[in-house]
Amino acid sequence: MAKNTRKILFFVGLVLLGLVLPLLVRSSYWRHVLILAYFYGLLACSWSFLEGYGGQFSFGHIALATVGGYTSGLLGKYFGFSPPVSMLVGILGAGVIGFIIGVLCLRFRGAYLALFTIAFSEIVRVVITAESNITMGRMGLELSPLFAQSNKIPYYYNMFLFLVFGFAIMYLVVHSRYGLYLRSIREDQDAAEAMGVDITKYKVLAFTLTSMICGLAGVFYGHYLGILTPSFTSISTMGLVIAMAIIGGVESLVAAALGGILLEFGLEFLREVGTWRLVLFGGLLVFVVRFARNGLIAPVYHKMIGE
Amino acid sequence: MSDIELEVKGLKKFFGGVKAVNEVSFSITGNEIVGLIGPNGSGKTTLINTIMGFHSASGGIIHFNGKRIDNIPTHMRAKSGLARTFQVPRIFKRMSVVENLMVPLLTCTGGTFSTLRRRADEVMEFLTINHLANENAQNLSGGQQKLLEMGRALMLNPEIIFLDEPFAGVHPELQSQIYDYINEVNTDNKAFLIVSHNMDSIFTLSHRTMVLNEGRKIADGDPEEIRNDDRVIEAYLGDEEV
Repeated sequence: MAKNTRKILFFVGLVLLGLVLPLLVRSSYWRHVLILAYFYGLLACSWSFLEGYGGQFSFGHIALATVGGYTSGLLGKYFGFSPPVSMLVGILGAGVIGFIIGVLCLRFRGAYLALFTIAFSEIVRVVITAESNITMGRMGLELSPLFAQSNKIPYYYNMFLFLVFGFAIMYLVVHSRYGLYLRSIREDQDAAEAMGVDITKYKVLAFTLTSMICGLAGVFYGHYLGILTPSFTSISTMGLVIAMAIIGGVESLVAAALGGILLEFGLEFLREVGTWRLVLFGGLLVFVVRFARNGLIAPVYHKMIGE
Repeated sequence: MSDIELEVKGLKKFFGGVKAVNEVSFSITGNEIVGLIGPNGSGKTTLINTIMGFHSASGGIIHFNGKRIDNIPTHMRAKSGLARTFQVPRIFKRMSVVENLMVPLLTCTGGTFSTLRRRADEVMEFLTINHLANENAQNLSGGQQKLLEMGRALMLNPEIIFLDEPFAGVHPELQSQIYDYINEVNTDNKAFLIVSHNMDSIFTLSHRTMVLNEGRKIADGDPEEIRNDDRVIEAYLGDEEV
């Protein structure tokens, strides 16, 4: 069977599985886990897009998701925006912040972006905590629900749609000429520039796009849980997203997304073993970094589609 | 003769107190092949880096085909018709050979992957690396990587190509193959500036040879004259004969 046919069948199979899964999973708790797994899957996928394809190491994904979520929540709380409108503005807001970060630090090389985004994450967390009269600080900002009923099914399909939509956009980009430019930048910025690639422009565009994807995940997360607190913007949550992408396979969008989904599931599944699950998770990460640089899911995926 | 002209006037590049390139002026016109030689640390690669915009010039002006280019970024210089290779090949290792070639092609032309693929196929065939099209570039031998880098430069359809040590670490057979490629590309109205420590190659290929020493141009002229120039002999090889 041709590679493209296998690939199409693989994606169609995944989408069909995603569509029927809530009918097979009856437990509200596990439906909730699935929704969170898709949330992390989307973030891991967008991190893979930025790092795996563009070679840009960022710690800002969770902070950008927070920007999206809080923007949407604050617009709803103070200006009465309806969730669809405030969510859209939240996504754009995350994109604008991402663009500004990109312009400020992506013309530099090396660890600047990583350091800058660590600082940015802390700034976001501290500002939200400090401006408690506006953001409600540690009390948490309440966001209006997206759907009237408390049933998880509509939220499930909503997050699934966001995951597929975000993935599709990034997939189209990495398989276009822009994806080729991004990969050339990852490989060697000087050589890419000598070949006519405007490296700053494409790095900024990639960062802006991932910021909007993070915003998309963030606005959903806020409206789904109904509350956002500054603790969400922690470096440890960001570390979790990075680890998910690496364990899945950082140079493959689908592997990183599946890494996010399966690991979130795995972590919930092992909740009974308490803190030890995090030790197992850390051990798995160490194993992958040392012995499976291409991740654990990417090789399986490539084998399945015959690459 | 084509009407290509690169004009470098009083180019300087200082790193703190080190004058890596100091008041260097020269021009390349038509489809000249210019050899650039000089002892280690004389500023040859820095000169190319500065012309291409990897280093901002500390002084001087560069015109290419009548337009000033020292104030535009590297990628714009590449698109304007200047291409380069690196001393140590800097290919896109985790990309296939054909993807390496597609990057410059896509930056300088419109069109779809399939229509542009034909041009990549032509260049791979010309460089006899077409059998490696889908191979990961990091799996290529050193010589093949040199050819790929040269192919990548050709994909920009440049008017002047800077080759930095194209013969270093290359098997003699491949070396003569590279000679042939340079001569063939040259007949297509493309000029070359070749940096090499391989004097035989430079004197065989170049129409004109420039010599740098301690950042300054000390000689520029016919390769035979350069070979016998006392200043060059003294600066380049001490007492030894070139």
